[in-house]
Amino acid sequence: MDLALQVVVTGLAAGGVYGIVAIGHSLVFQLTGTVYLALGDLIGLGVFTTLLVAAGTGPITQTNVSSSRYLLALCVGVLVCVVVGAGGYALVVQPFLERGSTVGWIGATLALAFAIHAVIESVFPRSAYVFPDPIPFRRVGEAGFLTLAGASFSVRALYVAAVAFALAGLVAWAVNRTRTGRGLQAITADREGALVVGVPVAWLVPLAFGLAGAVAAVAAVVGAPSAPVSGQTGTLLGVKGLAAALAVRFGPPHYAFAAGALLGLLEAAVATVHLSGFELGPAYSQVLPLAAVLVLLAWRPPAEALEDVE
Amino acid sequence: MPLAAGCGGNDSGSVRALTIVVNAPFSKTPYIGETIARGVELGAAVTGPIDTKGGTIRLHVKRLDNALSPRQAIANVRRAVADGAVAIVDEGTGADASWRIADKAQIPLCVTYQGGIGLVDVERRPYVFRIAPTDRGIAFRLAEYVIPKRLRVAILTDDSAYGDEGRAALAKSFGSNPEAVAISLRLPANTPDLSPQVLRARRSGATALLVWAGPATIANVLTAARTRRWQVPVYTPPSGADPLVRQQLADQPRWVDGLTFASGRMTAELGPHAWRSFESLFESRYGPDVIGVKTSAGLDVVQPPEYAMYSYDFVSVLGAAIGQAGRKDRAALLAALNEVTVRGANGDERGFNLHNHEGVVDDDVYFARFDDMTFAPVQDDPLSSTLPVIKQTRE
Amino acid sequence: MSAITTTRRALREAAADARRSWTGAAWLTVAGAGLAALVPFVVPSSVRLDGLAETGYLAVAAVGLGFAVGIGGMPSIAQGAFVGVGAVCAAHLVGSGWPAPAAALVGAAAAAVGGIGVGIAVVRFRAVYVAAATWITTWLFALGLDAFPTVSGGSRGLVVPPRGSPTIHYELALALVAAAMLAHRTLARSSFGLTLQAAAQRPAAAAALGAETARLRLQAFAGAAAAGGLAGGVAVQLLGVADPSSYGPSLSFQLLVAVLVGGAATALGPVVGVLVFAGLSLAADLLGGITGSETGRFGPMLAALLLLAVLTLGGEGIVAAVSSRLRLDRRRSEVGAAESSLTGASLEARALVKRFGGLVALDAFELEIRPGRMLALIGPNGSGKTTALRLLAGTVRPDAGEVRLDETDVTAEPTAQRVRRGLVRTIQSNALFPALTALEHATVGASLRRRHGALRTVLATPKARREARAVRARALAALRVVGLEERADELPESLTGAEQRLLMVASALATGPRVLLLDEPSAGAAPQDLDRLAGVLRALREGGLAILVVEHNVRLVRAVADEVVVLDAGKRLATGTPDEVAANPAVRAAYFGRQAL
Repeated sequence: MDLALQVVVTGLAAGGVYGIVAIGHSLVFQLTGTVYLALGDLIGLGVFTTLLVAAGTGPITQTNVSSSRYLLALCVGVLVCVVVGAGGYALVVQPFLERGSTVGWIGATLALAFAIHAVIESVFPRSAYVFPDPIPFRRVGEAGFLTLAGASFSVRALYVAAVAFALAGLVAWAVNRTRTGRGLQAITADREGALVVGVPVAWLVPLAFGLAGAVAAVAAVVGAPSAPVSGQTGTLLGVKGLAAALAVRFGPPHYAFAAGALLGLLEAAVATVHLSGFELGPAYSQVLPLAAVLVLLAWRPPAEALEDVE
Repeated sequence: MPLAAGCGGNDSGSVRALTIVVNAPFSKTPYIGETIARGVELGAAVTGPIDTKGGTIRLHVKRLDNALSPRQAIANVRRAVADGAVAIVDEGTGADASWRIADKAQIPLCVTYQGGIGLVDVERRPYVFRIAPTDRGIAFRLAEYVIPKRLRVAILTDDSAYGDEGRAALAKSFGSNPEAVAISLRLPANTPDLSPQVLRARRSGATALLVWAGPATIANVLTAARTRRWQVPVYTPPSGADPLVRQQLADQPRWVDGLTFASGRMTAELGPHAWRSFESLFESRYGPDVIGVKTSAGLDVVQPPEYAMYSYDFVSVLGAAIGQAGRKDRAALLAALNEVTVRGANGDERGFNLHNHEGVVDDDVYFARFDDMTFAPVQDDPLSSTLPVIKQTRE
Repeated sequence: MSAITTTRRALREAAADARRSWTGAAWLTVAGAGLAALVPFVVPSSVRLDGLAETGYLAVAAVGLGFAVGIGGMPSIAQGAFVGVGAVCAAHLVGSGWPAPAAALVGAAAAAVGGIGVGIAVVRFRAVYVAAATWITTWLFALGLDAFPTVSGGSRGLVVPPRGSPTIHYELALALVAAAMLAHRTLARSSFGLTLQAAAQRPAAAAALGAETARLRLQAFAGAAAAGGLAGGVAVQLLGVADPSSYGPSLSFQLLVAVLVGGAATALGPVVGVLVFAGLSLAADLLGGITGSETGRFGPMLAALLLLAVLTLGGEGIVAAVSSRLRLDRRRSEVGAAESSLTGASLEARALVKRFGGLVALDAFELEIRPGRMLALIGPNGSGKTTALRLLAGTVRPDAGEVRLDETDVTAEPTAQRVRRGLVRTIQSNALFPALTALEHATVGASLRRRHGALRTVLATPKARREARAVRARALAALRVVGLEERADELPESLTGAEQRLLMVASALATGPRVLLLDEPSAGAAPQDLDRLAGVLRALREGGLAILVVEHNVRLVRAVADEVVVLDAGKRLATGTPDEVAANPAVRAAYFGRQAL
């Protein structure tokens, strides 16, 4: 029981972030038919920009950052994400989409991803950085842990999960209820038709690219203080979010989010759970979920994935 | 092959410049890299121009980043060879593959951080030296210190070269007391959340943790244990003293309290004077190494230049050897390295010979415990209790 | 005849073949290779032979990837993982005392197995999904190495006692690059390669011609993986360590960059890409040496910028740009056409039913065609004509009913199988492969009857060469039947609309059909071209084929059809000669009645 609650809470915290990233991937795929291979590094850029503004590049502690500075840093991080994401799409992806060159945008998106990664690594070269936590969770309960019916779980993890769910709800609401969201839906359904009825496709799509990165970055920043971050943190988030999105065939936001949450739960379960002495262990927790997605794709290929064999 | 002619040697009159290459992880673990490099640079500066029969020789220092990647480390050694370096000071990553390259080029390679057992072998690897505490010595002393306390130890090592070598050394030293070991686990070096492994160690009935891993992993283990309110004593090799541990746990100083590490003795048997003058020499050139955490009284904590001492000592030995071998060939330099003795930074004698390429005596290991972000020698070990406390705060 | 005589004869034939296909470019290549081989003996020792050898091994992996990307049409981002598989395997084996070459070969085999495993999932996917799936694969591999240090040696890697001096490795790398390029070139121009390229350009059309795309792509993918594994397995013995951090997404990206920068479609392209990239890294190193900054981390950044630059400049890669400048000609075809012999078969459809969701596209559809007869299937838009063709050809399975070819029930058989039996169709939409010549189009069709696969092609065995000649002869024959023999080396863009439609027919003819299903062959044709088309169709019918034509054009139907079947809303409305059907009031109502309403 103790273990189960811990697994669920930790799993949902990680899975919530994966879910937001998966939503980003799904959205981008539905809008443009491309896979946003640079999303992970864009998230990393947002996280590290926030870190840079909040605390510089030196070894820092988790507490000596004021809330106002933290909020400012978060805003700057989000802004950078939107600008680089939108700009990246407009400069790097769109030209190849228009040319109809698949291998072109794949190469270009990867180039963007690795370029961003290189910039992050040159400013933050160390293997781990500690992220400031503006909310003093360690004062809650016992050093940040609450006990419920004999089982203890981390308050911070619960907070991250809650924020992720809230963000996902926000995105779903925005897509369904706002004009911008409906415009995006229109583009997804019929691009030419959307153009005809006056949806501003030209800047809406780049904006969506940028926002996908920004929302995911917010989720990542919220989760960042839970553990040291490195240059690879963002990229790995992008990969896992992509796996979740692939598992649901780049479906609607709530499916993508659910897949991400499941991925996180699976990871936590494989890492921790032991049944009558048998235990897979943490080594498999990174590997099994991704392998499961690949096997799923092989066994049940989505119809949209297959080539048109008319 | 002549030592100072052509490749790499810079001919300007009778003053020749020879390059010492420092192969260390400057990007990934900057403290280790910087410390080693600074020791070399300080040593080169203090040694100054070396007068030999054939002219004066100046030592230059070049830094190459190995980013903790064995492949990069090997590439750096290849580059050092191609540039005609006179010696390589290596942190140790990839040395079990790169030693051949240095060996073939007859360039002395001195490891000043990692203590792996097989790394140094006078017979088969005549050009490999080490001035750093050996894993065997540390593991032996750890067993000697921990076992009498009747603790059941969970040995946690990470999957880096450092951790692997430590694991092998600990297996030997704890081999005759298997009941002292509750469980032995291997930790993934890159994973921040180690609660599953720590939980497993706890379930195995361990009453102490021996974490032989890099500083980040040690901090993560401490985090995992202390957040579960497990106040188990933690013992580590010298990596526990790395500032990164304290930096990562800066807002939880109580978690660092009680962390006990083993390390090579800094001060000499004769007393701390030599060490203190080395320390002030180091700080006059580089300033005190303020690591960014504070004591409870609000004072800045400073890291003593321990590993700088080892690389500094190697440069002293090298300088003396060059002075003796002069402009003759590399084999003569090797012979000289096997003969000269110098007084080290902390007052101990440092030197190699044809049977021994280890510059630090095996069991010259002491224990220190952290309290309020600074460490002091423990009192329940015969050697440690005789050692003075090194001041780590500056007003 | 004794074995020696046979062998001698085979060798002489091979030499004659080689002499015939020797070109100026071949001389250049041999000269270049010879010069390169002499490098270690003439240049000063400051040249880093080990660096050059490493670049060479990278080029081998890149050529393999280039084949999968450029010819196979699969943008794989997983090649770095396969290099890693080969390296880790070889490192373990060499550590256990295996001899170096055997270890490398086992590494290549292991990578091929990995390639098959991943390929099984990936070969049926669209390019987007291929990219996504292989990206996850390469990360899975990197994370797996991290997670299982007993396999990967942890972050210290697997130490390998180095085997072979830099000179030996350099020469070996050169030999492997040459072999890889030769294999690439041979396969790309063979039936195997042409079919793959056709499938990459127009998957539907290739499938209609009976190409078993998935199987061929799997072979290509596994071959590319094997090349990567071999490169990794040999390189690790030069490097001295298998460092797990170097076999991840970064390596996959660099290899993809090399392929795209140099050009994916040619054998030389990836090699040029690798050289350009290595040159840039060298320049960056020198720059870093001068400015004193750390350039080790700039590798991926450089690759990214280079790739962006080349892609933006509209690149098909450097090699393509250069060769179009030099206007290197396409190879001329010099094989004579075979005599075409057409036989027919009867095709029968019984009670075929097909539903799409709630819509009944075809209901109780019946049809019969005999050899030497032409049947036209007509009807208003949406009446189910194309569905009927798809059911007959095997693209779609019926919900009920059966299809019989010469009394054999083929209802359950896939398209490729039916094409092999002689039932082939042309498709409605654009079915021409933009980058293949007319002869190559027909070759794709003619490749169906190949019995000897990629391996024999690469080794250029006598059987494979004989078969290739036969394929080319059949292709030319098909072109001759439709009257396009003179235009054999033209690309579709230089053909007229009518010629393009005829080319589609020729491709289908090259498969050696007995029943031909044509979907609107007159679409987009000018009136004067219709006569030519009609003439070809009549010739085919007289030759003995059974032909089913779906048509809108009344003139053509009248000119060529023996029998007409009218479909309306999925049901057979009328059947008879063209005149009978034209006079049928129900037919008129179906066509015009609705409009009146």
